[in-house]
Parts: sequence; structure tokens; C-alpha cells
Amino acid sequence: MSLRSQLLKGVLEGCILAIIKQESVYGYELSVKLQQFGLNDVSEGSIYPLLLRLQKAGLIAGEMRDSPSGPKRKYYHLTEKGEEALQDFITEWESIRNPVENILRGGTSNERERFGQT
Amino acid sequence: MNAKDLVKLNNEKRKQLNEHNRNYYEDMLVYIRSHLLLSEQQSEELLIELLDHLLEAQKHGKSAEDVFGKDPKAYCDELIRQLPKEKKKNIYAFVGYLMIQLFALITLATGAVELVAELFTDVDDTVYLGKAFVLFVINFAIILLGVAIIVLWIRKSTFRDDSNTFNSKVKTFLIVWFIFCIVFGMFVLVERLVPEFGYRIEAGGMVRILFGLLVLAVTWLLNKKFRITK
Repeated sequence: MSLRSQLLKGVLEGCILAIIKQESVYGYELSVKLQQFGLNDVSEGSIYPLLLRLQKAGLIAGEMRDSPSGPKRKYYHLTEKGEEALQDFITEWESIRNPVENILRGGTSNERERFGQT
Repeated sequence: MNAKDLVKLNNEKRKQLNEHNRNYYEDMLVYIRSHLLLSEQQSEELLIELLDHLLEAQKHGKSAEDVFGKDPKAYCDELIRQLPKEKKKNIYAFVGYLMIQLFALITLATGAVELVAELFTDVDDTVYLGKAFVLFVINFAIILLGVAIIVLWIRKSTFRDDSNTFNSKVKTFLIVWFIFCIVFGMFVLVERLVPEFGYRIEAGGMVRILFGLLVLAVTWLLNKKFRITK
């Protein structure tokens, strides 16, 4: 697997944990929420391998129960281990977010300075 | 909800898919179910989730490709990698259950044949326990092998452009039938090759049928108590 898709998967997993922490959701609901947050490029189906992986790792647990609209759905909620994993993700994200943004922005400003000199 | 209920629910809900989406989805379903060593409960929960999602997407005018992508086999392989295996304990219980049931069926079948044959001629009721045991083990292995080959064939015939055509279904039927014939032929061959040995008992048609029914009742009770087939 390429580094790029690894990175995307890791970030997406963090987002899924964060959404599930707010309230328990079922698969379709989750994909709608991700899109509402603007993650339109994430193909809908790609959440299911991730949900399976998170379940296998014991970070989330699914449970079949009635949905407001009627049919039974599998709702996911965070486990204790999942809460910890989410905290870890937030800490890691906070620690790399600013440096990465600075590097990216710094890169472009350096370019501008160089062009300014010539 | 256990796996059996989920299968039933899936059969009902699947009817709401349009033809294109149903063909796409049913290939995924057959492919995932053909992996017999995966946890049945988890597989069926996943299949119903995917179906629910596809039904919602269909309502919004999307196709299965929009949801699961253009390469359903690669997508399913990814799902299968993440699905947990069935617990060893459940597999052993299920195989043991099948063995006892096969034993009951063989006893019943040979008993019925003897009972009918006895009407016309003298029948030798002798059973050599050693031979009977060896035959049973070999025949069970042959059946498992036959089932494995059929399942692998069905798995291989998914995700092809022609996988839902009438022709391909006829072809699959013929192959399955052919494998049945080979399995049956091997039963006969093994019966002839294994020599008679071991402790001798006399068991007439009536005795076998009663014994077979008793064993069948035991498997039924075991299944009810331990929910082997859920």
C-alpha cells in the first residue's frame, strides 16, 4: 500500500472514531456525515473495510437494533479502547498539524521571496 | 439477530434492488459467502449493511459502482481481509455435527434398502465394524472434498460479465452435477476396495432404521441445545 493511501486511511479512521464518539451511527449515516463535513472524495464503500478493522481491533463495537425509520441497523459505538485511540489520534494530529501547515506555507513563501529577489 | 435471521432478511430486502444493482450485489454476496471459514455472523452482518447502504444509495439515484467502485472483487478481497475467522470451536462442532448426521443417514438408507430387499430375497445382515468405520471416514472426506470443489467453482464464476446469464447458470449446474457423479462413483469404488475386517455384528433393516432414527433424534437435541446451526 502506498504511503499516501496509508496516511489517508489513518486520518479517515481518526475521523470515524470522532464521529462515532459524538453519537452511535450506522454505516450509511456515517458516510453521509463524512460527506457533510466535506470529505466528498472518500468513496462511500471505503468506510466498510475501515469499520471492520476498527471492530477487529476492538476500538468500536456494532450492535443490531431498530432505527427510527424502522428497519434494524447495525449501530456502532466507541469502546473504552476506542476512546483511548481517539485521544491518541487527537494528540498526534495536534502535534503534526501546525508543523505540516508551516512547512507547506513556508515552502510557498520561500518561493515568493526567491522570486522577489530576482 | 443471528446469522440465519440475517440471511432471511437479506433475501427479502434484496428484491428491492434494481436489476443492475442486484447483479452487482449478488456477485459480492456469493463471493463473500463462498469463504466458508469466515465468521458467519460477522459476514452476514456486513452483507446486510452493504445491502442497506446500496438500497439508500439507489433511492438517491446512485449505482452500485458509485458506492463500491468499479472493481468489486478487489473491494470484497479488502473486506474479507478484515473479516474475523470463524471460531475453531464452532467449526469443530459443525463438522462433528455433520459427521453424526451423515452416520444417521447412512444407517437409515442402508436399513431401508435392506428392508425392501428382504421382501424378495435372503439378505446378509453382517456388518464388519472395522470396514464400516474406515468407509465412513473416507466417504466423509470425499464429501468434504466435493463440497470444497463446488464452492471454489462457484467462487471462481463470480464477477464475470456472463456470471448472471442463463448459460453460465446451466454450466454451473452441469459442473455441480458432474462432481456429484464423481463423488458417488468414488463411494462405490471405496466400498469395493476396502477389505472386510473387524468385529462382526448382525444388524437387520428394522434395527438399522430404529438406530438411525435414534441418532437423528440425538443430533436434533444436540443442535437445539448448543445451537450448532444457529
